[in-house]
Amino acid sequence: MPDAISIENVSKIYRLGEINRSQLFRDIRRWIQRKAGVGQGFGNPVGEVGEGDGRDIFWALKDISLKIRQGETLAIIGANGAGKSTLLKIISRITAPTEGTVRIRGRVGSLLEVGTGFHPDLTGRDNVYLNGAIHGMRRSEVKKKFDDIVSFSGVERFIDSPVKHYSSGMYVRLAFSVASFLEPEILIVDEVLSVGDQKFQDKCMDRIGVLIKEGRTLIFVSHGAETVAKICDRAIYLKEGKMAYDGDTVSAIEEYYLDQYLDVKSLDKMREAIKEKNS
Amino acid sequence: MTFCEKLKAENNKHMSQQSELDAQIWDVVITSKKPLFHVPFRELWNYRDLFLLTIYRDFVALHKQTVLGFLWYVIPPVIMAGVYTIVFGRIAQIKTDQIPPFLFFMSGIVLWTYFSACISKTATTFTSNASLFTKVYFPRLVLPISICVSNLWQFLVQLVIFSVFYVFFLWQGAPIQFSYRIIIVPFLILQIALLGFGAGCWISALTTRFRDLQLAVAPAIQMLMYVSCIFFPRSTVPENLQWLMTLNPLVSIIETFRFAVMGQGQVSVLNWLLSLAITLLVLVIGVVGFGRAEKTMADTI
Repeated sequence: MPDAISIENVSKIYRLGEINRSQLFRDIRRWIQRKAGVGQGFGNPVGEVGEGDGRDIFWALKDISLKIRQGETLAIIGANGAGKSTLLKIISRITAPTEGTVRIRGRVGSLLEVGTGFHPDLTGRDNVYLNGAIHGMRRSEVKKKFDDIVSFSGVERFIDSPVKHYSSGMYVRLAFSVASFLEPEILIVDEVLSVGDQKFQDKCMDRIGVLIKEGRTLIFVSHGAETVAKICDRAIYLKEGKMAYDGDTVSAIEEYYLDQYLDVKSLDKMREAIKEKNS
Repeated sequence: MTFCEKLKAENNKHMSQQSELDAQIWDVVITSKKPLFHVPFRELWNYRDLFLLTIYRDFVALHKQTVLGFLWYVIPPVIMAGVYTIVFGRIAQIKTDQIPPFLFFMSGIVLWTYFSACISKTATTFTSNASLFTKVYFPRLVLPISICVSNLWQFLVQLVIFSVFYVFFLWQGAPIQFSYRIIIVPFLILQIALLGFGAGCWISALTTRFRDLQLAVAPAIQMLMYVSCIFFPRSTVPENLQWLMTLNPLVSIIETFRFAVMGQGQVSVLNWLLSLAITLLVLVIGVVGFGRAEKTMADTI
């Protein structure tokens, strides 16, 4: 299987502190320096790295390299602030890396937070089309899948009412349905499954199972070790922006739990889940 | 050629070969590099349905739960033109180049309203769509472009109202002439759209870092209105302030519009070409700034 995503030496730096007057002066000074040709290297895409004394910058990701094959299901695990979301944001083109290159084959669909771009005054029907278009679908493509999307969400009766009259559960169900029928080659899922009632959550998991069977690449971020183990073949463990482990899901989770002094007992639950999966 | 230059050239050559190779295998290559001028035309074309649906959304959202609906486009310019006629025409007695004052002020108001809607709405592209932009990728330029197009609807309704008054004044025998020159009007409208779009994109790019601008936009637009020949013809401007009129591209657009439609007033081709050049400059700067801001806006907004 060829690679769906190739991540090479990706780093991301955030500047700490507020943007204020001194920031403006720094911008101007840097611009003047650049124009004067001071400190200019060539073939150096680093740009902002190496300025200051390092106290005002924060490495959200440091030198991450990773190849994801087509059809692979990869979990990203790690504590809060380990860089999981930053990595997903770079892959889904929301923010650019400070260093390094990401190469992607196929359409990326992200379920980073469902329901963004819904307009309260539009009907459910209009919002399905609008949301599909935001995710890069043609109108004709959405039309083909429209009935599936609506019946999966279970809001058929209200599809021609403005979504501002929806309950929050209905809202989220419709949004997830649109996103999961986008049929991207690469699907990014970030903790969205904690929405809706238990029945709908189970339905979502089934839907994700179907997408995996169809051979789509999946990148999954979750704190639930069980869910991760059930879905993913491979996991990477991020720690303070660096790659701490890359391997099969169980070892990665064990590594993560031991490293973070988490309750190892819950690992048994996870092992059971895997047994269940394999049987 | 120094050694350093040679190395640089080789490096560039290697990089371009690499990117050609990438384009064959990969659909998307994400790097830290910020291209100076990059408009993703093909991508924008792929997202054309989003463009249409956004216009539809703006249209529906605007008219939802209003009783008078599109009459809100019609009433303000007519009332404003009436008020200006009394205040500037009768009380301040500003001369309007033989054009009936009502038509003079209304043409200025209608054109100005479109420009100010384009610039002020595109100027908040990043700040008002922050929650969307930090969740999902699509070519961001879709939004400001669709804003300028959906504002066109309001503008066209107002232009029709203007034509009604225009025909009335013509029929009454006012000293205005209808002529072939009217064919230039679509170009003037396009120029207004491009100017508003370019300036709005530029402002929205800068506001991702410095919010001050957001607060400065409204008063700045208002000030611009006073030097854009809406209330007075350029011919009444003193010689020592004419340079201000030349620098403001809107002056030439509005004056040319009045001349093309009503055949009165003085315009010079040179001034119009200059305003066209300024418009294009603003457009290029705006698009460049916008493209640079969209790569990092998620971190600073």
